[in-house]
Amino acid sequence: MVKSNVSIKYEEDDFGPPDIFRAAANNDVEELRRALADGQSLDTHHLEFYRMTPMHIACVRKSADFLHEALSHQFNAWTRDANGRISMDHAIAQSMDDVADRLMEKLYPIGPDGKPAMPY
Amino acid sequence: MKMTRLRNVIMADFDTIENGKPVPDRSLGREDLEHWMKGKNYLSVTKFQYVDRWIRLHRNDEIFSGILTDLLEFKEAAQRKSLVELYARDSSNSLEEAGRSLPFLEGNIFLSEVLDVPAASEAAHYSRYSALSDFRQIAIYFRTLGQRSASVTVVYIDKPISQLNPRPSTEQWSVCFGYLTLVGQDEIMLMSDAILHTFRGEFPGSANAGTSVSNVSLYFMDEYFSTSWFSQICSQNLTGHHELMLPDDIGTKNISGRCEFKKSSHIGDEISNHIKSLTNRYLIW
Repeated sequence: MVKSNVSIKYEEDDFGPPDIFRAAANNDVEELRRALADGQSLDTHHLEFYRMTPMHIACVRKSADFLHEALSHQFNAWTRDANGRISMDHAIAQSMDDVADRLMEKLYPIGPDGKPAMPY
Repeated sequence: MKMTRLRNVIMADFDTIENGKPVPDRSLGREDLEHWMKGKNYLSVTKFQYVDRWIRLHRNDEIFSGILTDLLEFKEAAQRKSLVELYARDSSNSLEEAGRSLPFLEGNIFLSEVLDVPAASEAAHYSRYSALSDFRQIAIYFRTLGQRSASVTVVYIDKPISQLNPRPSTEQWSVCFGYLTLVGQDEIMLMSDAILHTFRGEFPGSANAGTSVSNVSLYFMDEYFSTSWFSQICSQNLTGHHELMLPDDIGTKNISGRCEFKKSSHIGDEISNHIKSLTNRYLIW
């Protein structure tokens, strides 16, 4: 696992329960797994952080390992942050084209009729 | 491209063939696109989603990358124009003169002094999801020049640039974009005052979301300029007072976050090309 070089200080939380948002910011796959086992969701909006989900934060922070793991789980790729952006928008803007392509598959899964399923 | 052909390209994954004949999906028709492009009506959400999907799917194709680049430049030009109207309402001759002097910036990278303390550590203390990496030097690249305003890319480099290897990892370099806008001209001192706005595209624009506004003094006879940074430098959350910390031996001139930027001609090609290639794709997506 590659941790980012960003210093994020966690004081009382260091030995506390897993935090899926912190896992996204830190590119921490282990903490992601523990958070999911703890019942936390990739669809939860962070109420103090522009309503971003862990997927948004991971794309903004280019947390590649976290995203690789998270993309194998169920989540709603159409969830929007406070700016109206979906996580794919962040992936494109951050030049993570491989992640954007995989998010594209989540956005438009192929339906039983062989056509991409549209959201509306 | 003819409208029918365009419609067929957009709907290629939805049209079907029955008994050897093409059966177009009725969700989006040629007329819908035609009326939309003529400005007669908007596409409804249920119709636009097909266009949106098509653009996302082919965003890296040659034709789209050109269009998206144009769109980005169009939006930047509009924002520069707004800032000029806001700050440079006085169309005095001296300001016109200053505007003509701006080209010395265009296409050049300016480097800050090496910072003493990784300032982002302080920011991170307040912001657990901070995207701002520790940084030791700031590079400002003047990308596009408009009348009295220039588009800039600001890169926070995690080591003094002299200590980087020729191909450094740039993944964690924080990048923001903004504009330098002339606001006044001092004819005696041969200098101009300008305002430097920088933004983090990831977040809604507000001071707490990483927007910073700085005073800049431009001395046209020299290849450097100085900034008086305000308390917030492109962090994206509540960072409290987040000032540049400069080495003590520089003395008192850097009190209040005053920082000098010098034109740098000795940045390696790899690093220079990387900085120059950065674009604010958040203006599109």
